[in-house]
Amino acid sequence: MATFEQAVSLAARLAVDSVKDQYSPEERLEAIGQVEEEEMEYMPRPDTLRAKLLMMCQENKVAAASAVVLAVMALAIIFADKLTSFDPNTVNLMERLLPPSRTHWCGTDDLGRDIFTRILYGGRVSLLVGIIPTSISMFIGIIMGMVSGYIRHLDAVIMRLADIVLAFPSIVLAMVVMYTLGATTSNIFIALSMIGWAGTARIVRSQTLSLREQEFVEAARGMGVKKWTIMFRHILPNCLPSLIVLFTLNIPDAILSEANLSFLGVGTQPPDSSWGLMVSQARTYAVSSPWMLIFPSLAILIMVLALNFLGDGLRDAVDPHMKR
Amino acid sequence: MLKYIIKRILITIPVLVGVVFLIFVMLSVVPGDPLTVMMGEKVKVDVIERLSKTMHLNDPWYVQFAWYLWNALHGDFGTSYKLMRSVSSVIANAFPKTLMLAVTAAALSWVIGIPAGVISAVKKNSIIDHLFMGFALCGVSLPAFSVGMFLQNIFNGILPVSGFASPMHLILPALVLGWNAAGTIARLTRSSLLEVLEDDYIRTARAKGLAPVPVIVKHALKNSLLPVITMMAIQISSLLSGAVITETLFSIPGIGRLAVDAINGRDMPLLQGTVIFTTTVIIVGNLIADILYCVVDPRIRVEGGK
Amino acid sequence: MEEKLLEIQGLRTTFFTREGEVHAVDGVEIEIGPGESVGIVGESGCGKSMTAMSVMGLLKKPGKVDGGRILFEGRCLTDMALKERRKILGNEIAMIFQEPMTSLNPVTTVGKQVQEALCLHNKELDRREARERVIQVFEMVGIPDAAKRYGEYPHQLSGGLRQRVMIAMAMVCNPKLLIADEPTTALDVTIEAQILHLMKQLQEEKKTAVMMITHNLGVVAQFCTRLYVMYAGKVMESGTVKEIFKHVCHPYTDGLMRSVPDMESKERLYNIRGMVPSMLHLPKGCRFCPRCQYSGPKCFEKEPELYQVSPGHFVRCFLFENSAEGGGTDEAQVKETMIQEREDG
Repeated sequence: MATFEQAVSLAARLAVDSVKDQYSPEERLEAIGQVEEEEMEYMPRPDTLRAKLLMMCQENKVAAASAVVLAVMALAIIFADKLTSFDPNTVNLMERLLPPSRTHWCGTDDLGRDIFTRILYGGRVSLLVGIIPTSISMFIGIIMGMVSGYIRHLDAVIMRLADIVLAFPSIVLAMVVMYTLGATTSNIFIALSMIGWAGTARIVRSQTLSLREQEFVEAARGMGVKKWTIMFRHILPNCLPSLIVLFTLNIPDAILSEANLSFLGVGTQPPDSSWGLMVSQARTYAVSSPWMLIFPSLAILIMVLALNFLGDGLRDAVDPHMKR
Repeated sequence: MLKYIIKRILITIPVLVGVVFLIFVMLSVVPGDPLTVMMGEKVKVDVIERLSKTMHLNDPWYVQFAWYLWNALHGDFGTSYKLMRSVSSVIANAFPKTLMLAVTAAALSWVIGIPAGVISAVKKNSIIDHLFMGFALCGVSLPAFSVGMFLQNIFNGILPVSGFASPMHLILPALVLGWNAAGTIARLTRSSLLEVLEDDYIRTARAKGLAPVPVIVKHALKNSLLPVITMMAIQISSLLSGAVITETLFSIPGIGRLAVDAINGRDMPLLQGTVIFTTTVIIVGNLIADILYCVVDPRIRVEGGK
Repeated sequence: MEEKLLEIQGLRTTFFTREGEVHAVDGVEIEIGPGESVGIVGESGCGKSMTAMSVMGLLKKPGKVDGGRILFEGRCLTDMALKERRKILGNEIAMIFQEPMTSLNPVTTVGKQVQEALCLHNKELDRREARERVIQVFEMVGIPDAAKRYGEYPHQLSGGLRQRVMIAMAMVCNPKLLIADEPTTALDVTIEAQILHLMKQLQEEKKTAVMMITHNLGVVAQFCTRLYVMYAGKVMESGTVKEIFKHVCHPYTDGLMRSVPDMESKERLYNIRGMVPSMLHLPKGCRFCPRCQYSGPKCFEKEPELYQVSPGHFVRCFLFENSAEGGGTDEAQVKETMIQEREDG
């Protein structure tokens, strides 16, 4: 019912808005009188996704700032070779374990490699790990969730499958998958995708369940629209706001998972670098050369924090009651 | 409600079997002959044959799976290749350590997380709210090993930073786990309480002439803690399943450490055993969380209507 | 004249929103005598609920009372310390809300919730006495099986029963003033009649004054002796129900009355053209003038005051400006012009 009423009041509002500019005050009043309704609080509220996002940027300064920080970080990582003259993998034993200085902004590690450079290049792994597995797992999760919520006889099977995946402590499952497949970067993508879809599927399923009962879906069904068309044309667009939020909040999880795997030795393999690997390599030198620990940790913290702030801001703007 | 609980318990059975199956299949595709791992290269042929028979290694995989499932049901997860002891006894040995760590960390997270969440919600958008929430978000945004290494650095020489000999050894790892868990709890408590404070019955309570503090304690908190209780149950089960990272970093011989050692040592039965054990703990924990929710919420506990 | 129970003097309630300050209640004057039942009528968003919330001190941020005084038995509620004010709340002034479905705490039994209100203001009661009192009140408000219902949760009760619980909660301390904010809007018509009947009966028995907030003129006609009509944060017309129903003066009140469906009439149901203006962009002059059939140039210029048309009957409309000064324009004459114009238009 709610959306129907919203639709009516929206229509009324649109009618009012469209009339506004063209007619004289008297004519406008006539027009307003015709669309009059019982309850007519005229309070302009943003309805479209874009308007909501815009409003978030204006009101939630933290989220807006986080978006800027993320953009800067992403650019720095992408154009790493323009920002630094060092090579991330060249060993220089003459310059090992140097503290931060003007030449080595974040110091050097135990093999004399510039840490700032390695953070920039290592960020590529973290960035890719954040985006690729999250996209894959969201894609699988969306399909599974919609099918589970809309085609009822598949529901039990898909949901038990999700239950199985969610029953594992995610780090343990990732560890086992990496062990089975072998520790390479592309296998990290596979491992994290295999784990991540289940949570998305649950959320999409519950949204599909409530959406399928609503008038516009029933109307479409009544007109004989095919199942898959309903799912992709009617249900998916309505899940979109929560999915955007979910995507933003899933990326930091993936980044942290990669860091954990690298710490355990089944993630990114040397001489490649990722932030998680850099921190775990700092373990032996943490006391004597704390910069080896501090800067990669900071990189993880800033990126994950910014993503979380952005995700929280998006959720507040788009779908405040969303549970995750 | 009883019907729901029974249904909920029945659902966990296929999930458990699925978990065992998944692990079994994943680990059986790993290349390498288990007997070589177990005995080394030079083993007599008749020994291999005898062992192959008792371990059902020559049977097709589904027969092996059936045997495994059958034995697992009797609490027998096979023998660790490396430790040459039964997997169940190894797990039984490691679990108390994980249990102690989990309980300490969980207690810490509740004692800090819930009050912090409540204060943040009540003083919404104040400096203290931003401070608490920033601290909470840092707890969920930093990898555990990063935090752990910082703590080891700071408290080096003041507190034991490795091993598991005394309660003092628990402090740092519990802080690492507790910060993360407290962050989640505080954020959930805050958002849940804020939502509840907007409800109509809070207005009713205030209209009675109730002062702000009793309104929060007697009316808002009771409602807002419902989702938090569920979260607490889920959290403690995930802590009980072994904190892989923290236990590795602090060299605590618990369940999580066992899994890592099993992987590094290619110790298949031990890995299978630990993974199945941890997963079972989580499944049971989630089950308890669900049942707990039914019990504490009268809307579900007491059948409605006439 | 006897002393007033509640006097609202020039009350102004402002919401400090992002778009600007909104005066949801703007200089409202309302008086309620002991035991009197007074109706406050208006469309949604006219400030009637906000007036009640201001009296109760339950405004949510960013709302705030920033002008005027609210006197209860001569004590000024707005200047009072919060602690003192809470002693009056629920004890001497009680309120019933519009939404019985959500106004009760879902995780506490209804008995406990009513008992809480009782014990809060009667500390000397022990638990057993309090319980008995609550059950008595439950019986008084017509809850069947009162003792059994005491231990039940809100979701186990129907909407009508929940509203009875709300009434019990309000009446348990025998308040002098009961504020009822659309108490029957969310209920079925049959239940509505029962609840109104119950309230009327309680009001007469307990001599409680009632401030009935509603958009339903039928409820007012049934229940109230005096009436305030509010529009866009201001009182437009006030007087006894009899007087106003007999001699409608303000064009807005007139519009409201003609919007009530009449079974005998075959005409198309009247509605007031236009809609409640945004409180952010109030028209200059009289707030109702853009929707008014009789508005003249003066109405767009200047805001009318309350003019007395007969003893106790006030109207905020320039049509009655002269009658206030003692009979330039005869009221009947104005009415005639109104009717004439209506027929023409």
